[in-house]
Amino acid sequence: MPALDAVFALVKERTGFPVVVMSSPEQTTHVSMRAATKEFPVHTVLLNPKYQDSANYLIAIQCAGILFKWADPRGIQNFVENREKADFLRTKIAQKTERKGVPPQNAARFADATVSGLLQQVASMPLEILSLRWFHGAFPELRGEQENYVSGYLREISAVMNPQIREFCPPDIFEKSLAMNAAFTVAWSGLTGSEVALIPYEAIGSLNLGRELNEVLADIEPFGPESYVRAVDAWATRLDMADWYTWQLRTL
Amino acid sequence: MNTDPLLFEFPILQFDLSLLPIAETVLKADPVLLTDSIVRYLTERFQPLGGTANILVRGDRVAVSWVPASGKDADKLLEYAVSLLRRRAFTEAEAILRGLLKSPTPPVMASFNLGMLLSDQGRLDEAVELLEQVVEERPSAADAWNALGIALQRKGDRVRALEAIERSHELDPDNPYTLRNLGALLANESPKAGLPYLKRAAELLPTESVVAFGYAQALLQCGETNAADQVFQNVIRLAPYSEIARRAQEERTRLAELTLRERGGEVRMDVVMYISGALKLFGELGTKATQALTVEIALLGSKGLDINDPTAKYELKSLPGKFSGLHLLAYLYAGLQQVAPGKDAGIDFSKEYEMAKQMR
Repeated sequence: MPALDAVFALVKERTGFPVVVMSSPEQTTHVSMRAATKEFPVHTVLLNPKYQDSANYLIAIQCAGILFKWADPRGIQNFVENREKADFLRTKIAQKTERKGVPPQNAARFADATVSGLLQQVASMPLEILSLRWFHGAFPELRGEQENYVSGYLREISAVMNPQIREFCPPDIFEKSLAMNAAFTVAWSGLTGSEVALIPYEAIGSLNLGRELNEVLADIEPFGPESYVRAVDAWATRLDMADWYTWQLRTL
Repeated sequence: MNTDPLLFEFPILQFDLSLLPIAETVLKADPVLLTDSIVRYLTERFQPLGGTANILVRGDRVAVSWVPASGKDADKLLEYAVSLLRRRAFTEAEAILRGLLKSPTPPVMASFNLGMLLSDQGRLDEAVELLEQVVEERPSAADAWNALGIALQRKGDRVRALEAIERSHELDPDNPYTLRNLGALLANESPKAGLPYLKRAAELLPTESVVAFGYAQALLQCGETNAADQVFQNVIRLAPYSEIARRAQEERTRLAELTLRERGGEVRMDVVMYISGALKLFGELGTKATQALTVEIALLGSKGLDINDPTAKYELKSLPGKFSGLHLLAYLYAGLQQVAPGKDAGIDFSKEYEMAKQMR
C-alpha cells in the first residue's frame, strides 16, 4: 500500500527507526503501538485482525501518534499522572461509590478505572482528532476505510451515554468524558457533513463544550514540535484537569 | 425512467442500527433519540439524491415518500440501494428496491439487485424466481445469468447452476466473476477442470486477494505446490494485514513443513543442532535479550522465512552473522519455548526440541 509506505518512510525519517506491523489476535484493543527503544530498535504496530478492514487507517493513525510524540527535538514528552491528585480523586470516587452499596473492593476498582480512563482520554483524544484530520486530508483515497472505522468508533464512544453508566459515574467525570467524545464527534461531523452522531450529545447538553474543545485544536499543526503538549494542555486547562498530570521529558 | 413518487416504509425495530454512528444501547433506551436519528440519517441520505423527500414516523414505522426531480435522480436511488447492499444493510436496501419495483416502470436492475440480496440472505425460492424474470427480460445479461447460477447453486441445484453460469460465460467470456464462480463450481468436482477458469479470473482481477487465494488452493489440489506457493505469496502482498493473508501464510508454512519433512525425514538433525545452539546461546544472553532476539526473529518471520533454501541470507540486529531461514525458525521455536511457552511458532519442532534438551 503506497500510502502506508509513505507514512512508514516519514516515521523512519523523523525517528530513525522503522515500523513493523504484526497481526495480533490476542490484542484486546483494535490496535496498539510499541515505540522503539535502544534495546528493541523497531516501532511495532500490533493489529487486531478483527479490524483488518480498517488496517491501513489504524496503522497510519498509530504512526501519526509516534510522529506527534517524537516531534520534539529535545526528546519524548511523557504524560505522567500526578499521583497525589489522582489518588485523592480515586479515594473520593470510591467513597461515593461505596455509599451506593457497592462492596469496597469493587468500588476501588471502579474508581481506579474511572480516573485512569479519564487521564488516558485527555492524553490521547486530542491527538486522535489531529490525526483524524491529517489522515482525511492526506489520504482521500482511503476515506472509505476511515469512515468505516470511525463510524464504529463513534458507536463505541457514544455508549458512555448508556443510562446505567451515567447513573454510576460521578457527574463531573461523566461530563468531562462526554465533552471529549463530543469533540471527536464534532471533528468528524466537520469533515463529513453528517450530523446524525451529534444528536445524542446535543440532547444531553455536552455539544457546546465539545465544539469548544474541538475549536482549540484548530490552529495546532500536525507533527509540530510542541503540538502534542499544546493540544493536551489546552484541553486539560479547559476541562479543569491541568493539575492531574505532569510532563516528563525522556531523552532519546 | 419517469419521475413518479416512490413510497416505501419499514418497521423502526427492523432498521439496521449499525448504520447509525450511535451505540445501540443508547438508541434503544430512548425512543425519541432513536426516531430522530433514523429520520436525520435518511434525510442526509436522500438529500444528495435530489428531488423531494418526506420522511415521517408513523407509529412504529418509518415512511419515506420521495419524488425524484428527474429520471437521473431515480437512478441515484438505485445506486444508493446498491451501496446499502454492499454494507449489508439489507432491511433498508430491500425496502428501497421493493419500492422501486412498485413504480409504474420498475427498473430491471432493481429486480436484479433484489434477487442478489435475497440470494445472499438464503431466501432462495424468491431469489431464483426474480433472477429468472431478469434473464427472461434481459437474456444477454451475463451478470444476471451468473447471479442466477449462484442462487441455484445455493439451492443445491448444481446442474442448472452450471447451465446458468456457463450461459453467462458464453455471453461474456472475460467476465471475471463468472470465471471465478465457474472455476469454483467445476473445481468442487475436479480441481483440474476448474483451474483454467480460476487462473483467468485471477489474471483479470489482479488486486483481488480472495480470487487469488481460490486459485492458489486449486493449484494446491492439482499438486502444483510451487505455483501455489507463489500465488499464496501474492495473496499476502495484496492484503498483508487481512484474514486471507493469515490463511495464506498458514498454507505457506504447512507447505514448507511438508517439503521439509519430505526432504529430511521424521526428525531433522540439522534442526536439533540449531535448537541445541540456541539453548546454549539463550543461557548466555539472559531472559531479556532472549526475548528481544525472539521478537526480532518473529518480526522477520511475519514476512515469511524461506526454510527450504539453505542459503544463509538473513541478518539480525541483535545477533551478528547470517542465517538460513530454517536456522532462524529453529531459534524462533526455541525462543518461544523459553519466553512464551504455548505460543505457536507456526511449525512443530517439538521432537527436535526435546532431543536438543536431552543433548545438553
